[in-house]
Amino acid sequence: MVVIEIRNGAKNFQSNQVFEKIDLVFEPATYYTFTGPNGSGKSTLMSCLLRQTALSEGEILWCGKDTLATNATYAEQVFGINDSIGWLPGLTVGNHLKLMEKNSKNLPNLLNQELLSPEEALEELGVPQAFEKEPYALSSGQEQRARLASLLVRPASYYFLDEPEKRLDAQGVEWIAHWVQSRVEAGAMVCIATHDPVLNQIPGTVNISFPLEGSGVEPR
Amino acid sequence: MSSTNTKSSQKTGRFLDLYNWIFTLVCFLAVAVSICFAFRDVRGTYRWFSLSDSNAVFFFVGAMLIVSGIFIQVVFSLGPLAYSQAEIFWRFSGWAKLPKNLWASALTWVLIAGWSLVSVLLATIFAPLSIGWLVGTALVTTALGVTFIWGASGAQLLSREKMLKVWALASVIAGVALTLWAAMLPANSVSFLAVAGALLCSGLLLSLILLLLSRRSQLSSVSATEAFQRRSVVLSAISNISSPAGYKYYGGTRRWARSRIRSNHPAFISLASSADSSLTVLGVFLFSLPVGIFLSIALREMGAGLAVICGCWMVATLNRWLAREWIAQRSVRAWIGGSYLRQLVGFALGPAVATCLYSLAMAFVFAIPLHITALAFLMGLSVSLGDSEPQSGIEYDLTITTAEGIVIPLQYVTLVVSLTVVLGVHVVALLLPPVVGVLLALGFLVFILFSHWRASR
Repeated sequence: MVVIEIRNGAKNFQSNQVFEKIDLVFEPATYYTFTGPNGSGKSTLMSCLLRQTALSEGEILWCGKDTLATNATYAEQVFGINDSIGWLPGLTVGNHLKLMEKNSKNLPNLLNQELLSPEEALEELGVPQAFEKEPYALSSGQEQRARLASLLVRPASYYFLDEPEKRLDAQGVEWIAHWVQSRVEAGAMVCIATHDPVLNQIPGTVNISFPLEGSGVEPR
Repeated sequence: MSSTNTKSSQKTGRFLDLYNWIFTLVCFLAVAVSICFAFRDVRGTYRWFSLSDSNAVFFFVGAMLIVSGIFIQVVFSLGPLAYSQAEIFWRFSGWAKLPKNLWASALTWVLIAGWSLVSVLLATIFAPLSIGWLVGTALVTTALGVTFIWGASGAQLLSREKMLKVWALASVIAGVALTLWAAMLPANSVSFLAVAGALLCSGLLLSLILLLLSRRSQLSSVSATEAFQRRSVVLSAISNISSPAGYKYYGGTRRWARSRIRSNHPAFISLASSADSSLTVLGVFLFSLPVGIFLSIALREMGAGLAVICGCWMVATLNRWLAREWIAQRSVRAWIGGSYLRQLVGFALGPAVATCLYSLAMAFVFAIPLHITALAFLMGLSVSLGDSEPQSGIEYDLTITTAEGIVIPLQYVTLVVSLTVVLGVHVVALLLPPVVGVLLALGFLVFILFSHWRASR
């Protein structure tokens, strides 16, 4: 069983200590939520887990080895969404997802996920018109839905999503809840940083409460 | 507490402004003094032409026309000269009106300073060797450039692009014809002077008309926006050198280049990067050609080599925004699924190709030994790669704050360090056997590539 483990992790931005000495384990087929006040470090930890930024101290282990040593496998199986990603200038949503679809053909689909084409994925999210549009031409909710469509285009076993419900209507949040349940049932690990009560009340949720001190896991 | 912070930040801002001004002034004066020091014995036979008092005037006038035509085109395509980014931002925020006074734009003053430098260089090379003539020519050409620049700014505000382009093109064609004609003639001819003078006067008149028209017209937000969107790669490169936020993308807006850079394939990315680099290469080439002539007179082969090395550094530095763009896009490209190293190669090849083209062109003109060209190319590539900061990644911070709260812009430190390394390796290469110099530069490049490779893991 492959687990993602943070051992003795700490992150600081110069004198600002975001979190320190944290130990966490993320297991497959489990749904985790990060909750806590603004500025408590949820998004920073997400960035670290998505390897957009490095921990100041400690390590993130994959199969018991540092992710630096297992770079390719980690990058293949771990996928996520947060605000740091942005969009390529001048590219339509469809262009982004097509590129992703092309790159995904070389990735292992360990959980036999049924993948959709970009057009189908956007249709599923209710924003088929986004395919031909650049992200700035969409409303903020539509843009978020377009971003979420990537979850249906690319195979992955571990997901880290930073406030995916942001700017979505109630139906959008319901869609995320449904998607989470289906992916966890299929054996995937899903971790979401959220302030939404619906996403915190999905059966089997393991809540990690911020600010973190040591292990902040609180099973529900 | 907050008022103390405000006062502190105002103090820091003033310090930063003062620092920037002093640094810019010192750099400008250093370059100008260095060139003036080499103001000797510019007559002689060069590889492709010879200069004597009989044909120097016509070379000069032709060169002025060519350079002014190119310069006007570049100045116009730079984008919002009349309005700075900040002015446009405040205008659209609704909190401030755009100034109607073109003289208030700091960027135009920077360009005027650049034009003055070029004018002095051209006057030195092409004017007959009399101090009075030289100073007079330099002053007149500076005034000419200033008027042209204001004219270009006025044309931007009025969106008179076609008029300006025709004028610039006519200047270049006339200049080339005049220069070639003059080169074939054994002695002075008054008619040439009359034609050239008429051309220059008409350009001057057009500039003044445009300037006056724009000053009388209502400034429209449309033309300001158009100018803002036309912001080109050269201006992006210049602002990237001076701005801590230079990693953000403000590059060329050519649709073809943009569509290629969207791809995840390194070949397409590098192709687009090269296309976006072309204008800076041309600019540096035009600038470093007279500098190379001066230095080669003073220091022979080594002088020309130094010009090439500095030029390569400039090309690489001016194109560092490509690597910064790559840094800024790293998250989204990782999200899409692109490989770190493949994309790095794509973005780095743009400045590399640009540096290579530049060094080959200069080697061709000055007949510089190939090992110096190779060394320059490797160092240029290292500089452009080194700026992407593989270790710090997205946290691209070019300033440090002291305990007293004073912000020091590190870009100048980076600038000095990279230039020192480039020149240092060059000097070592000249003192030691050629192979050692090339190996040294290659070693530096491998070191930077290794850093990237480690970061990618």
